[in-house]
Amino acid sequence: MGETRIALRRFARRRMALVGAAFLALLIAGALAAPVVSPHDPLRQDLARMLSGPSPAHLLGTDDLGRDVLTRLLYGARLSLGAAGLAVAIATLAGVPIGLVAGYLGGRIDDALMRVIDALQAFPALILAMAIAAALGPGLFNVMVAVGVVYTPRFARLVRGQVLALREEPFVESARAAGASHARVLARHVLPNVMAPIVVQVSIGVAFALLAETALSFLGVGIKPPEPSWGTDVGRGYRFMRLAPWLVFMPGTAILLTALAFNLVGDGIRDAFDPRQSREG
Amino acid sequence: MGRFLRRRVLAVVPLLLLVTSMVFSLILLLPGDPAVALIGMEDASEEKLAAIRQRMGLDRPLIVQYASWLGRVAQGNLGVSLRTGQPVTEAIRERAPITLGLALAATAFGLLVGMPLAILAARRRGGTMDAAASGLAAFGVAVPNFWLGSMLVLVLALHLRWLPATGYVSPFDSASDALRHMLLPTLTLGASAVAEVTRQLRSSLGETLAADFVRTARAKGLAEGRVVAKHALRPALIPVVTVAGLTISRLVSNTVVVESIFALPGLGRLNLESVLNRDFPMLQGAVLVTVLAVIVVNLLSDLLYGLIDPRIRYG
Repeated sequence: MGETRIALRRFARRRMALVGAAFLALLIAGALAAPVVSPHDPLRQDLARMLSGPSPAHLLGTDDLGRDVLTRLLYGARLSLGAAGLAVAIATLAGVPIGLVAGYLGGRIDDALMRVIDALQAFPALILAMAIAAALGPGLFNVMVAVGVVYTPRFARLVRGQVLALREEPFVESARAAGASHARVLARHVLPNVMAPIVVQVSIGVAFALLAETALSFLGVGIKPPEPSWGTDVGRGYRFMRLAPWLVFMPGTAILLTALAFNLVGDGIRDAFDPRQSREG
Repeated sequence: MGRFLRRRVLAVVPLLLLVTSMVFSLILLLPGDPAVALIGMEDASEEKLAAIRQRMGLDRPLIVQYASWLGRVAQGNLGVSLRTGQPVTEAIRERAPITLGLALAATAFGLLVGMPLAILAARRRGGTMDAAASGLAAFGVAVPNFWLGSMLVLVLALHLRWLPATGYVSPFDSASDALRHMLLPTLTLGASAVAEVTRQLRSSLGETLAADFVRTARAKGLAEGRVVAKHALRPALIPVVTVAGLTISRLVSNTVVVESIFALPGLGRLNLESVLNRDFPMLQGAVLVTVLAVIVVNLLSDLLYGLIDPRIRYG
């Protein structure tokens, strides 16, 4: 565990990564504590107050149905972050084993798996996600499966590359020579050594999935109203942009800052585990 | 160069087979009866469905279905739209030029802004320009383009009234109007390209500027501008070209969003419309043409890579 502690200490010295981590911690706390933090209901309509600008009663204003924008942002974070997390979990669970097997076994299996990964990667991400979501039918879960499939090649390629290098390491060869099975070598000796880049990719992947999910919801392919989601709220607000620009600005800024924070944290973790790749020196 | 060319082009063949089979398989993911999805009617009678299955070959083995679909595609027959009855190829021919123009403009914007930015940043690591360029790149990667597009419309079109908010004008009708209508979409789409180019080139140029051959060039007394332009830039461009495929693929993804914000009748919007309408022949055709375009561009960037770096060509 010594290495992890050193990495943590290095991470703590990266100012931007810390800012990102602090922002995410705050956001997640706010989303979890939304019912306590906000006096409003995200779904309750108040037509007398529709499209009113920021005020002491509604810090970020209200939407076209008089719902509190800040409250919807906090509740929307649950759905948007949860969805992004789910998509990355799917991509990790599919991509890591593919990468492990392809890199470790090599040969024809590697060739076959990588051709499929190449083909998946040839599709523009959003278009493939849209097509899969269209085929599976509407619904948040289907959309997240689609985004997960689209992101799977990133994990597979990353892990395969790492495993190709590790395969020749003496500790892997000696484990094999001592009679360990392929599965045991992969689980006990190879996987722990590729965890750091996987964690980095998870963090950057959440930013990607968040952008993809919100884009799909904005386009009307993802989460359906009235559930609060950042992407749907931007899409809905777009229709009232002349009257109430905050309806687009606020949730859009939330998406931007959150994606930025995940990228910063990902960069920070990479630098912490591999100071040679550090950009800040 | 001939062998290199042949090898690269041949490598695309299995990719094409896999990609086309994936597009074809989209229909297999459909829950329920593909015949229902294909004609887009929920209440068709059983006899009618059976007739459709037979006509479309849905009762034959999958591999036969795929082969005959591929055969039709190779002849340029992508079927007709379920909604409008328009031949899919015709719809694509109408819309592809708009997307192509938009993508080229955004790429040019990305290079024209991103390259100088990266050079300025890399020449003084840790300076103000470097911080600004890195900040801008981080912003460009994380910004949702539907948000950026909306904000540009809000400020430049609705408030300042400098540019039209949405709509498309053909350059054959009015070149200046067409240009004005394409400016905001190009800025929106190009932002992520600027970020990508800046990020990649800044880091690779940083490395080459620290290399021995650059120090030698400086020691010869060459002016700094010449050192960058003649010696450092070319090797630094190689990693940028390597990720060009990914950048272009992302750009094409984003055309879906940008075209729908700015109401441009391009291929991206055709993809979206056919998803929303569950118009499967149209969706398959649009996705297929989009992915083929990305593959061709990737192949070209691969060949370009060989041109810039002779080691690749003869390796």
